[in-house]
Amino acid sequence: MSKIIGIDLGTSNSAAAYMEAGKSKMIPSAEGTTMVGGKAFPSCVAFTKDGQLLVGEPARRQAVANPEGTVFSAKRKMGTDYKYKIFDKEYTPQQISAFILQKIKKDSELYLGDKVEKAVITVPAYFNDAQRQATKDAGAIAGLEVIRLVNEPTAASFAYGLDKSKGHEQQVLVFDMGAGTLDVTIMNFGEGVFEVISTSGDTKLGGTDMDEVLVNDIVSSFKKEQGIDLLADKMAMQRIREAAEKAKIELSSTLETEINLPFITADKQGPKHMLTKITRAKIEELVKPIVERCRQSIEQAMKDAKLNPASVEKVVLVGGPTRMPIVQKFIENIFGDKLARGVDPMECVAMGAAIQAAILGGDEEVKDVLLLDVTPLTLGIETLGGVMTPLIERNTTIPAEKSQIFSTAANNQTSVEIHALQGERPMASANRTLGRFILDGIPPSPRGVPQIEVKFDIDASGILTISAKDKATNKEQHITIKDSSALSKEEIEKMKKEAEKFATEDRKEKEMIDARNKADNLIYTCEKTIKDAGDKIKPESKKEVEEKIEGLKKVKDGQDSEALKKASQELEDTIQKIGAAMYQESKANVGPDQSAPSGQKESDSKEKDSSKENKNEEPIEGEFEEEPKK
Amino acid sequence: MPEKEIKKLKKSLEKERALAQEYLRGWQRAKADYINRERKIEKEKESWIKFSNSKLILDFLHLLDGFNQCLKHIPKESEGEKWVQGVIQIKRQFETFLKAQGVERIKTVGEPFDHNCHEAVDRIPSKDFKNIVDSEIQAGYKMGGHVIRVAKVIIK
Repeated sequence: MSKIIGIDLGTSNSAAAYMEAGKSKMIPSAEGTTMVGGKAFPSCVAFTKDGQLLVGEPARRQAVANPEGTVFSAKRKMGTDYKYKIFDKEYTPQQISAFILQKIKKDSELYLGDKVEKAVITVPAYFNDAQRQATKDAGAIAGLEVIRLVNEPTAASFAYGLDKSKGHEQQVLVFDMGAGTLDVTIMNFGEGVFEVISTSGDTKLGGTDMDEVLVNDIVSSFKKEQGIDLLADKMAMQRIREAAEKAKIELSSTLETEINLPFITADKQGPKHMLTKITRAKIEELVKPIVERCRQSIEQAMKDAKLNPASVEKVVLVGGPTRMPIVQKFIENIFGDKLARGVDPMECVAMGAAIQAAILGGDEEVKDVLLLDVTPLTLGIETLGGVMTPLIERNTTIPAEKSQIFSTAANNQTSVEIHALQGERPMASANRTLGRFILDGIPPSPRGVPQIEVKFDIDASGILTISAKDKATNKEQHITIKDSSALSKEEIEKMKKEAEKFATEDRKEKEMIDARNKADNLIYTCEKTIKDAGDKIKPESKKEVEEKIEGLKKVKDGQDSEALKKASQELEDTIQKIGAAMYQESKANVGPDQSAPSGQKESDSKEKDSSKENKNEEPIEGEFEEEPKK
Repeated sequence: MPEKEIKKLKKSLEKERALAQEYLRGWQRAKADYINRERKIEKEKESWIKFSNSKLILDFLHLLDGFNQCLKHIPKESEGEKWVQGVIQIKRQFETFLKAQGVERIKTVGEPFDHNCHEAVDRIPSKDFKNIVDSEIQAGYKMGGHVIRVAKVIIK
């Protein structure tokens, strides 16, 4: 079956998206304009004098060269009797829109490698019957069966998943600011249906106005400083426009940026350069009047809907300019923190249309016999210091199997306890216990030497088998947990939320424990070094190390992470100095005993790496506790 | 064994066989999907590397623009100086580097306007409009045959 695509047929730009594996994805235009990003198809159609038809980016590029043959914003004329007269031929707005849809169809087929015959197209909420019919006709002319027209604000709400919010009815306000138009729509959502209550807007207000004020400001301050008017200088203006666009985007995430244009122009005295700082405060001051002009449309929409800001429950932002912090602040000042987040505002209409298309088309993947589940939460075991070490990350498609090699935490440790956990928190105690078992009979050996392979195997129905095997003796123990996914959706959500909520505290605690584990290892290594070295170490050096060890032991179990780090560093420095001195003294006499300390050090640093990357080759040392910790 | 029983068993065998077939097909498809996905990932990786290279080069072109702008402003009296010659040589290094990356500059002045690689930012009003490039406002570049930045031009 061919894909049904979603199309956002916009006034200045259009975009298309499709669903793949349950996710909506944008379809790039064949020109693949990677520089500008966002909507890929300028809504522009042109006929050249030699009879060529150009659509999208190529049409836009030649607009200046061929103004009489180029049509912009045909959407504004949809549903009217208007005719475009181009080189003695007449075209209806439907026909012009059809050229754009045809181009989208062609590029989509090229991208998807499949025929595209059906589409969901979005229209503004205020479109009347004639305008809607015209849009349908445009689709038909382009060879697309329009299986549904969806209101743009509804599509945007779909992209944010607002249709999935259960329970009572709610009022949603969609604030859609494009390049040249503003649309405000208030909808009532209940029982799975979005109903438009009121619409308002301004057809001559948008992001282009914002770019304009910034460019004008840059040009006029240059004139003030240097006395040169750049407005007539095409090349300078081109560079300024690009730099202004870049600055505008940067200032959405930083507070200050620089416009650096060397050799922007020249006069009799020589070349002139432009180098100015622009702060976010400055750009906000410049665009404030434009943002303020949106207030009227919002108030009008609310008045028509007989609502006040408090009764609006969700606000959806659509369009590039809404990425600017000042626009978001402006909306928040009116409605409070009700913004739906997480989807690119420039893509959400097309994505919502694609979601609708998939629903109407009866998504193929859902029908597939072989449905594969995912683990909703991370599965792992408790390791030294009460840390949760994940083995199978959450959202892993099952069946899945993962094994990792661990080792002992103490010398002559003959048993390890496997404490299986489920959850997203870094500390074992904050997660859910799935089960415990003990693997014993490990031959007594120094810490870090035994290799214990722990394997998690979860089958397609969610049954988890955990096994632990001592590689030296091949002794194995395992348990099977049947209810690893027995948690309800609410419980899973709760656990995920808690993980987010406590992220900072948890990280601090985990850092503290990591530091403590590292200190433990260091103390062990140093003590071993001194013992092994015997009288090869000068007594005063030995005393120094012992003092430092004592110092570290004192702070090790406290809560002061700074003191712990400092004491660890001091001990490390001291032992390294001694190690270096020992090597220098007896270069010829390096036996296996002497290389042991440095070897141990190396594995200390490896331990840090492997615990991060979960590499299987290296045993993770000192991870198991000797005593089960309750 | 009574005939009824045999019939029943045959039927259930048939059912099981069909089920086994279905599982096998599903398994085969899953395996094929996986292999295809792996292959696609390889391809995607390649194009990602190319893409990220072109992004890097795009950013770099801005520096080159500035540098070229600088060279345009060499004072007449200094043109012959060794120092200036050295700077021009650096420009050649830039050009060699771009060439090695498969990047070439799009021809503009005097060429007929081509919407595939030119963007018209202005048009010199004249009765005798020829639709050819009069001057270049910003250089355009191709990489491996693909336009990575269109040339912005004035046409006449």
